Amino acid sequence: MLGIEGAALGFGLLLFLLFIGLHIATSLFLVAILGAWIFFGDAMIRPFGTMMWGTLNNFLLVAIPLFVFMGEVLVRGGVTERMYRALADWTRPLPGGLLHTNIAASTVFASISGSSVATAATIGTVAFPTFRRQNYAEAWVAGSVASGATLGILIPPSINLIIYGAITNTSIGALFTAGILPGILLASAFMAMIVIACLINPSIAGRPTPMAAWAERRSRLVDLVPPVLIFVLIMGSIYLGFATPTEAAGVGVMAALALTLFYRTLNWPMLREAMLATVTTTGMILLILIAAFYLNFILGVLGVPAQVSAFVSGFDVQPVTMILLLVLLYMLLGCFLDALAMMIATIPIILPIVTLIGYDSIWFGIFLVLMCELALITPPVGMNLYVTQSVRGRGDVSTVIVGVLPFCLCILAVVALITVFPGLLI
Amino acid sequence: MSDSAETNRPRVLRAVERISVGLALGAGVTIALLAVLISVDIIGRDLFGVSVQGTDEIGGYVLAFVGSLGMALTLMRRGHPRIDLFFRFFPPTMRDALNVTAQVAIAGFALFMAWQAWGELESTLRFGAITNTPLQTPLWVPQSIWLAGMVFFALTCCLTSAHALWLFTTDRRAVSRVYGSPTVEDEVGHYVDTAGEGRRDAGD
Repeated sequence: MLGIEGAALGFGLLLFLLFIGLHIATSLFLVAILGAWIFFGDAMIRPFGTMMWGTLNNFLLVAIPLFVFMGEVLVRGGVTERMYRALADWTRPLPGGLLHTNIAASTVFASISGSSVATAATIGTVAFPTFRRQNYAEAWVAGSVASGATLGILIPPSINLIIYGAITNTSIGALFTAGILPGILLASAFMAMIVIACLINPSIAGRPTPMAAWAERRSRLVDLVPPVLIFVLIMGSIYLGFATPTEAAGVGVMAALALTLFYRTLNWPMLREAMLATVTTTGMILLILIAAFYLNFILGVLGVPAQVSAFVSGFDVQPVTMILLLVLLYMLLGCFLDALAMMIATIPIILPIVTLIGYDSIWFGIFLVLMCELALITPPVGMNLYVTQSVRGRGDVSTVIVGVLPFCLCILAVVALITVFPGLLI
Repeated sequence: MSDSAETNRPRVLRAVERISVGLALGAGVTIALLAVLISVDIIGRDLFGVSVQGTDEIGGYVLAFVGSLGMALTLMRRGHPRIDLFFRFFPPTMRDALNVTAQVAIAGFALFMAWQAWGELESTLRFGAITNTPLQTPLWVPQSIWLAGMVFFALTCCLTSAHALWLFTTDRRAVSRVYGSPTVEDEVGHYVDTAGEGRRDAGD
């Protein structure tokens, strides 16, 4: 059996392979196959084929291409822009004005898409030109776009939660349901942060603009109905037990196609791009998952999860101290690792520790996704920072980094809240 | 997505790219058809109490099909993620060598998967395995398509590796351009384009 030192060595090797630039899937696979070969020889290499077929031929994971396709169709069908304008009408009177639109639009957008890159790119494209006309502080605009977009992986449907559920055998319906409240809490915390900042320094929000006429505002409200309806359709059918998450995703695809047909944005070039993006995203995720499932299996046979929990229970740490240590660990890893890689690589080692100190796997799923959100906006590798900067198209990424700092505090506050009140995640 | 990469490729790789786009579109259409099937199943089941048998089983096959076919196109479009954080600190030759290494390593992984997929299909054929479901699918049918996808991925990986090695010996500066990590602009570009079009469509 592999001792705790061996496990640490394995993790070190994984980091080394990742840092010399091998593909994430290859790195996970090489560590797994090396462990299998050293400790069991041929015996544990043979199950690979069966496991690979099991990973791919899995109805649970079919939700991934379906939800990705739904999101792609909605983004490319122009649903986001309509939604953004409709929301902008209503957030103007708040201190911070249009900055709240970024958060509100990201929240609504997150509920129909599971990707934060897509959220940051589309919201940013619509947001920056509008804000420049009105002299908003650029750091706050960029910060709210980059941070708001992280909601995409927390608010269901979330690709990260599906992957987590598949790896840990946790109900995806339960994870989706548990993600809603922290999602709303986090969005509210983001908005509260904007309000507080604008009360202290009103110049952040630039020139106030007159609100559109009531009739106009009301007529645009119609554009919010479809995304909300799709969300309710998906979550409602899962929650009430009419459909599994995968089935709900299938219905979501039909709803997205119908909506873009109605908006007259459904055409072959759009569909073609949406399909290619869906297939490449699915190929990317599945290759990592094949390697991750095998690594998980090898770690299990080697008894690593049990040994890690035995090792940790040797120390007499309070649960809260443990969570604090985990937050620090993930903040550190999040600086260097891609959010998805960080999640997949740490689940088998950290989940047993978290269960040991009395939290369940649903709680850990939400915790992990919150830490992934933080990883998406922490330099030097936070993907959302660069996506936002790229859409912004001027200045330097450091403005975006300064802009996300206050919002990082909000994420940490929500982590603290769910740690103290785990009952929030039902 | 990454035009710079495509224009630098030899004809055989461009052909592979075209084939993988075609296969990916086939896979995409399959996803859309699956969504139709699922919707019909749910409406039938919850409203009329009749169920289309085996939607979940077919869904699983669709995923195996989409996943294995998608991997090749993802590779061609540099969509398999890597962490290039420390690359900027490496000397250029080392960076190029590591870009080649990554291609060769993923090719090794892909070959291993194709070999294992063949082993899986072989044992299915040997036992004449049929699924224990209402559909009673002879398992060799979906597994053959799956194996074909994995073989295509392995072949693509081998070709890109060979190309990367060849570039390394002949035109070293091209290695990072063709096989380095894509820039953020590559990844963001298509969303920005479509968002822009959507905005015009929305009459802004």
